[in-house]
Amino acid sequence: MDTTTTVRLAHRVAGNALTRLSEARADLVLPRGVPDEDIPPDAVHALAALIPAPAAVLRSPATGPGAARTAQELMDFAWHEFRDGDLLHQLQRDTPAATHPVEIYSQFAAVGYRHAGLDDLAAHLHGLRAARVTEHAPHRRLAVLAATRRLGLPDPPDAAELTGRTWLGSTPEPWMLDRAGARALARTVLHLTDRAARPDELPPRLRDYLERWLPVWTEVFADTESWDLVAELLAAGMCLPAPRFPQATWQRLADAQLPDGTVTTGPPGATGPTTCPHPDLHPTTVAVVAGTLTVLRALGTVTDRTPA
Amino acid sequence: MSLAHRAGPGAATTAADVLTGVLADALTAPGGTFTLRAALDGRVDPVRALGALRASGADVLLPFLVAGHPLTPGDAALVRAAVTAFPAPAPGAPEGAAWALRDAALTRALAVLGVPTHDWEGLATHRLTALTETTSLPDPAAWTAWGAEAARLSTLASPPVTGTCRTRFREHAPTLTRGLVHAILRHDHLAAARIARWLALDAAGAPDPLLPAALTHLAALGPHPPRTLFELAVARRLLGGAG
Repeated sequence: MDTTTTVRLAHRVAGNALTRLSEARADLVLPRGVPDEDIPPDAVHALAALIPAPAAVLRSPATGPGAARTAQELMDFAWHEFRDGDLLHQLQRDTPAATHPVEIYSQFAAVGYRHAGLDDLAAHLHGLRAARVTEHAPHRRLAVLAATRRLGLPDPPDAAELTGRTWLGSTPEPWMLDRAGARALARTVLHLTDRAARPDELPPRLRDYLERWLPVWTEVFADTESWDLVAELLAAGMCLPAPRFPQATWQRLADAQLPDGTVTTGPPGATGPTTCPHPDLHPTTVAVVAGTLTVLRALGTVTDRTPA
Repeated sequence: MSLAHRAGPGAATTAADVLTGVLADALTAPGGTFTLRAALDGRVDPVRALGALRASGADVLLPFLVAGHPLTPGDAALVRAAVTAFPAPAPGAPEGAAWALRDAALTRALAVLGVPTHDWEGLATHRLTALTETTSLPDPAAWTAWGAEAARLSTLASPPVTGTCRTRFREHAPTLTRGLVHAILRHDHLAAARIARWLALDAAGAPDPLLPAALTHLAALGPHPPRTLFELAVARRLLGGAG
């Protein structure tokens, strides 16, 4: 296994994917001149799905000036579309029980974009008993926990128990992982480690489990050309205290990437008709995250970085 | 191709399926009397039965090695007749190495059962050194290839058969377990059962906790074809269960 080659592949995949996301901005502009409540949730979701990519790039000290500029432009674009946070604030006011406005906002906050009104509202909502009983899947509770941590809010009383309720936290028989489980597992790892910023937050029991089985799961999903899950699992692997750099998997992902930088969810035509306006946005975003974390971990350091 | 040889179409397939079904039953059913001759008599054309016995190699002896059934002189003669009727190719043949491994395992198993083979005709030559050969084993770091090779060589996963293959698979049991999980996830239940057989062979009363769970899981995913049922029965026997 050649780490240098792996890093080159990851850097190339991430760079091409980031360029593709930058080119997709025009498709992600939110409707103008309509009441906030009439903005389609799918449009908000698509725009939000973009954010982890530039956020990961901006957090990495290993980012080159070109990628940093592209990432900054993407974040500025998205922040602008969310009206410098006003739209997220309004969405949170309209649906106080919803968690997605704060989850989206927290990714901006992690790289220096703040909205005082939303900060205050998030702190208030976080203190309610209702915030402890949201009917979420277990890994989604961790997503909310990670978001509130980014905002500097205190952990809820049951924070330590949340991990044990996830699929990963139960360390099930490894042959029982399916697509939904893989997605949940990868996100559990990303949330627990704040996207590789704190690998040691991963309990040793889970670290050992992941070190043993991640290669198997990644291979299985690569065999089925499930590139979204391959990228998610590669990103999760970069959150381990001692990450491995699977050259063969990165080569397969690089080979599957389209010339314009798009990473598809599966092989061409496999997903069939879809109502999603941007079916490849998510895997392309995750490819940026996975590649960026791979380069970062290979260089051996993770630090926070705020925009100038 | 597998050391156990893939059966061809038609009647030969039937003979192989009948034999593996018979062997699986012998490994699974408690007590009773089992002989190859009685189990096959009238169910399979005699010549095809000999071919199936020859293709199965040392596997035909597992009911006598791990399930407590006594090997009768009649069954020993039947195995010898199979070897004579279907002799190994010359050492330089394309599959000469595979034949040498198979016949080395067969010879070792027969020796443990008290059947000398020094005067048998049809066995591959150089068989006594074949089990020390490692040229076909991949680097264990390539865990997918490692698992595939273990599945291919599952006929050698038998208590009396020692050698470098067994030693190396035992040394790299965690790598094999990855191959087992990979095979289950790919729905390749035959490969999974064959890898499980290697893992069970030298578990020595302290198997990876995943192994019994995997065997139970695979059994629950049935019905399986006879060959898979047989490999599962072998693995369970080797693990200390009743097949």
